[in-house]
Amino acid sequence: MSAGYYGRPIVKPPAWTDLIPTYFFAGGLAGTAATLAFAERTARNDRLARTMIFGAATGCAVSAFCLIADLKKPERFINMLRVVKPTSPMSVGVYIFSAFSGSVFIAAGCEVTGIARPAGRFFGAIAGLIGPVMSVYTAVLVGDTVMPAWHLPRKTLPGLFAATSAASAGAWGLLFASARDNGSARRLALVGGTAMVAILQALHHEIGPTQAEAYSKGEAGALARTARVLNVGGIVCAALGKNSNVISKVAGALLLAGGLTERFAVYRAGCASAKDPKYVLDSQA
Amino acid sequence: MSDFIDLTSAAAESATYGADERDRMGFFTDTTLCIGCKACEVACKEWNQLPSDGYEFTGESYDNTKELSGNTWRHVAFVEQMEPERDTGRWLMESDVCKHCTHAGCLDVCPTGAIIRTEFGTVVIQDDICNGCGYCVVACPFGVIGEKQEDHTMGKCTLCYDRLKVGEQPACAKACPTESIQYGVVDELRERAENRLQKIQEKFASAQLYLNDPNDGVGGGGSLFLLLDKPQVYGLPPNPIVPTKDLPQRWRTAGIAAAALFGAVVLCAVSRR
Amino acid sequence: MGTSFGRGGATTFQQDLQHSDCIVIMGSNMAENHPVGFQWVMEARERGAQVIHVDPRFTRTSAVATKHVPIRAGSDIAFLGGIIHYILENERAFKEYVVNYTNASVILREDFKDSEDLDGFFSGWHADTNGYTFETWQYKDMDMHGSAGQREDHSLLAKVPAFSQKVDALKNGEPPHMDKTLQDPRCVYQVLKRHYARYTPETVARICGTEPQHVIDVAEALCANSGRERTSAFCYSVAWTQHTTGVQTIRGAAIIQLLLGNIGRPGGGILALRGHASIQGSTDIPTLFNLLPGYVPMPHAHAHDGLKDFIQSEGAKTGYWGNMDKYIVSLLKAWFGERATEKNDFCFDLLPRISGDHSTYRSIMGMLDGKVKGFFCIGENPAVGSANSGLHRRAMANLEWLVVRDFSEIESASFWYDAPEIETGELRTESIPTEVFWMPAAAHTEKDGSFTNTQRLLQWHHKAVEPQGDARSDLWFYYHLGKRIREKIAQQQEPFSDPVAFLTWNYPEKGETADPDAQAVLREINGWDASGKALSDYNALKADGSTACGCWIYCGCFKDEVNQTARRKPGSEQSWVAPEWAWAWPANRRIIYNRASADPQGKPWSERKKYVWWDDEIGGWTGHDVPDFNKTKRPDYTPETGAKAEDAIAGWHPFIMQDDGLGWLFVPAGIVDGPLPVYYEPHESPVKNPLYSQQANPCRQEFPRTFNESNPSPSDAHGNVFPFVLHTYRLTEHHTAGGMSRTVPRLSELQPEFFCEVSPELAQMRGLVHGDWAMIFTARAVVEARVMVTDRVKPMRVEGKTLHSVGLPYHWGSRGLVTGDSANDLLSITLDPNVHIQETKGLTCDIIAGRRPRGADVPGFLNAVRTRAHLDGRT
Repeated sequence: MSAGYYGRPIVKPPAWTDLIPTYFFAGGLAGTAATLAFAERTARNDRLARTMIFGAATGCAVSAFCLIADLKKPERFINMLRVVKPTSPMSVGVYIFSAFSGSVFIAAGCEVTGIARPAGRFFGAIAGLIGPVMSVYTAVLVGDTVMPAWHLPRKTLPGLFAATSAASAGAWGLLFASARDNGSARRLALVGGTAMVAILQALHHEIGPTQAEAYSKGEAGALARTARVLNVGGIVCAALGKNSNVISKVAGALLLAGGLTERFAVYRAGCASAKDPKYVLDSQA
Repeated sequence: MSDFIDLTSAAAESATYGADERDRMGFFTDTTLCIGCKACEVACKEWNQLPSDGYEFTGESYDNTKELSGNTWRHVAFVEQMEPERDTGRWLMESDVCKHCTHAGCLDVCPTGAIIRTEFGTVVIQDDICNGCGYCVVACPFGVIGEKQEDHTMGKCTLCYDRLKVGEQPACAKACPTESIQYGVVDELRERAENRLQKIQEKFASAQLYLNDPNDGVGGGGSLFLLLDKPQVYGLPPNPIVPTKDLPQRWRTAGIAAAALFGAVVLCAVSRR
Repeated sequence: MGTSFGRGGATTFQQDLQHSDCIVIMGSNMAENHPVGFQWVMEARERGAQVIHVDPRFTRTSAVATKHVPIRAGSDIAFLGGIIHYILENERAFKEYVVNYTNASVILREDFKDSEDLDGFFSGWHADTNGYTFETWQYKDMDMHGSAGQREDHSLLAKVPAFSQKVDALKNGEPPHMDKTLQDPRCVYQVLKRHYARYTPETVARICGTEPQHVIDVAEALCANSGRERTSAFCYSVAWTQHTTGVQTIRGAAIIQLLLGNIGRPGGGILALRGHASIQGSTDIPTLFNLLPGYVPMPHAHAHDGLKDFIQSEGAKTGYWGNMDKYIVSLLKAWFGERATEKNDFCFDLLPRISGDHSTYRSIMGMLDGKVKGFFCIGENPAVGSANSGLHRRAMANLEWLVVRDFSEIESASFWYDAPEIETGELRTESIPTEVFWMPAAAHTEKDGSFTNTQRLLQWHHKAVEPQGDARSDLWFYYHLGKRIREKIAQQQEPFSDPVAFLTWNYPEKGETADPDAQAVLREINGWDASGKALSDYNALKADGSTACGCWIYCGCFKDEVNQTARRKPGSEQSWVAPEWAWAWPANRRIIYNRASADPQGKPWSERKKYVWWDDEIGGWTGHDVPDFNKTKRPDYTPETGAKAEDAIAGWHPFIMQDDGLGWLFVPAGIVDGPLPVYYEPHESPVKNPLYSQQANPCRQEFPRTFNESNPSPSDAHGNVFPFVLHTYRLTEHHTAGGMSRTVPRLSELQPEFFCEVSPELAQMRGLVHGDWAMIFTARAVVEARVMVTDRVKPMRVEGKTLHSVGLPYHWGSRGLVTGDSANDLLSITLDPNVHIQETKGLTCDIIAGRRPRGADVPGFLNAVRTRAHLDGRT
């Protein structure tokens, strides 16, 4: 006899589509990319800064599309802006994202057109400062649900989201900047990628073996294993490809793919932890 | 002792109605009186004009509507527990419904303000505001809320807000022939539930109250239940906690992670080769 | 019930169940099929009453009962016999009640022979006609007259095997011979004791497939909760009536309740739960072929010459049926108005006459044989809902015309193009001659009218909305149909048109659709006096033509020119009996025979069970209810010899409809298949009758013919071809044949598919998989259903043999939102001989895993089955 009531879920899995983990990926990338852009701008490495602010803008564009397209009533996206709700990470997130993406688009626009560069710098700085929050708030958003796989890793999930964002942003730099300019991005990719792999271990440890099955079994587990291969490969390539444009680009592609896959793995783990009531029961025993 | 976010609790939000604030209303569902007739399910769908959820034979005893959903706001669970000799046994039946929590996860996380606390202390989704973001679905510890496929907003029990407004009781309570579903002022229902438990404990040793404790993880329900077995047997979470309960700490942890991320980026940028 | 107590209605009302100390629900899944009334059972349980559910399945009723006793389908008479045995052997009867209020002390004729003496037959059996004559069942030196049941002279109907001869002419109302000590070996009490001597707990348990202790427990619970201080009630519904022994099963309960003194008392009684809204109403103002309104018999073509002769032979000298002349004359006045005069026998000759059995199933046979040409099908869906529905479809395909009135195009209206027989090729649309008129009907919310519910309560409902489109009320349909016919025949002036032409047919019409005024009809049913004023009760009826009354038992429902049935005073503003909520027949009495709630001296049996009593101060009967007794008749009133009608009923005789005023433990007249219940196996049974060599009810009505073959039972050769017990039933979620529920999404989703309930043991034996398909078949049909394997179904040990059963809800058909095979296709048409009700609750079948054959393969499959059962070539 299956657990609970005919093995039916006690809590409902998300009614979301795959646009949501895609958003987590793109938004995370954009946030950290903007911060790196800001840091590089400050360090006067304008080429990498330019690559990264375009990365942030791309991430923001993808994010905006995902966020609105996933709404069951997209024409009502505007309703998000009728209230400010501190109790809702999504409400808070909408304002973070709006401020962030607005800044990014202005900064990127100035960069492309060459008009009003000081304003572009100013908004680039704003975006760079908001960036880490943009990268991490989604961990609060999913943590503030009753999906055990998201709710229980209180300590490690924000770190995982931060690390994944760092790896993805770094990977963007590796992919689109030349080996000459991508030093910071490489380091960020290495730090982020390594941290991602490490924090994932810590996450399993934090939630215990039963709950960790949500991450290690089924589709989520398969995705996680794929992500691991991609990420480790990406880290190795990033470390080895210092002077090679080709290997750097391979590293960037692997880590981007690894980051995206990891986002899907986490997302699927959350769904799996809702679909099988054993996770809820274990967490409430 | 409460570390709940009190902004949206039943008391705090109802109070915003000022002179229009009313007694907090709710349900007491006494499963010892339920005969599984599903009149509540039908009355609910009739009054609220909800469509069917499809025509699928589940084989799960007499339950073919499976769970609460966007279009099923009352759901009767059936659990067969026959004794080994099979002359006797139990066939548990429980009419499940939105819990109208004191601390409601759905209400807390709704980013549009579509979900409100009414003057009756109940939790209602305004379907003309809901944009279908679905956050409430994953924030409900009871899996109550679902998507309404026909208009893509989220749906759940309103405690018949429209009926309450004109002094009527909810359709399900009205239709229940055996008073298994009782409607009333939550404080009185809590007392009634306690008395009922006392009275029947001898006959039903396994009887227990569910969501009647204001100190539980959701601050107590606006819907209380008298169960004859463990909550999970009926598909209910044994120890539900509103997800927003530790939201501040989550932000703190996230803040640390964001700061670390910022630091890491800066470090990577400044450490030239 | 009619034969035991005098009236064919529930003796009590549902709200009264709250006062019961013990409720036995048997032959009913009350919680599922009568959930609203069931609240009073729950109320009683909450007050500490025992609630016992005796049923083959563990249902939603069993789930909330305090005790469930599983018994084999169709073994009810044995189980009830076990209880009676227990009461008699342990001297647990309520002596004072039994001696004074029942016929326990009455001496029977010397030549009466019991079924125990004749191996399953009573004296008076005639093998040639398959029926009984009743003389030997009479009281010593007198002849009784059944107040309900078979009063007809059916000797002319010898071709109908179950009918028997008439009760002889009546004598005057002198009291029968009695032995109040109950010791005389010929007295009813001693006859009863001998009759039930063999129904020991052990024997009964063996027959029923239950434990002896269960029999004892139920009997003891009843005994302990009966007497002066306590009362017990029985609730039953169609799982008792739908047997070839249906009437005798109910008789078993009647005997128990009379022995324990539970009739006419609060918290007591027998509650007949009706299966539809207004089924009670449909027998009060009947849709039955053999009754006129108020249970007045339909005159017979050959037996009745004129009104006087009819009253002479059908009325009684003593008891309230002694007023038959008043009832029939007032009825005729209501129907024929000015045309009805003393001179023309009040148009008695214009009433239709019966010439035999014209019941539903007989009519179906008539359709098949081409004798019945037209059919009004209203408020039913026989293509799904009737026993052997396949045979009904074939019958309807052999008509000239068919009128179906319903909310949607039900299977009975669409069979000519989508019946299963079309798919199999046995029927072809182009060769079906039937012209089908499908007419949309208005729902109850779309018309005014009344329901008469299970407890004889008439409740008025008001039109809430206008019917949509062409939908019209039934009243509209019949009224305007009548009007058109009358217009057509007005020109003809032929004598054969008089019955219709002479009718009063002038109700006020309302609104755009000219809907007749339903209140005007109710007022006619209530009746009026010579001055045209509404009558207030049936005692005011006259036989001289000065009063008109459409149904004497409903007289008073329009008292004081007020629609009493529309009263809705809240329960909180009146006593628990709620006499001002709607109106109950007779005379707004809620518990009938309530004179029995007081002792012979007229005092309440106890303070706790006080209900109606004699008040010396006011010189009359008083209490919580309208006394079911002459209000001023003293408890010590002794009738003079030769007294007539109600004057012949003594002051301590509560059953005023009976000739002798007594509750009948032993029924000397009125039942065709025996004065006492006898245990017979169902018509189709996998078991040999353990008690008698007579296997099944010898009087049962059979229709042996192609497509209505009977599965052989064990005493026959090949009795093992259909090894499992089959029974059909309903679910809360659907309405009978589904015409009103399979079209409603909110109901259809609750039970979307036809399923069979089987035990894990049977599933293992036959390889049935939970959730998969199984096919179930009898000699008549094969159907397929989803498998529900459940512990709630338990195999029974019967006569040392394990017996499995298959339970089938019967709601599905070929149309609607959810479709499926119809369980009723499997049934045979075999009937109880008294009331012509089919046996659906206990027959035999086989079940195998998988889906059934399709199309043209079906007849081949069934032919093979019949061959195995050696049914081919014969019927």
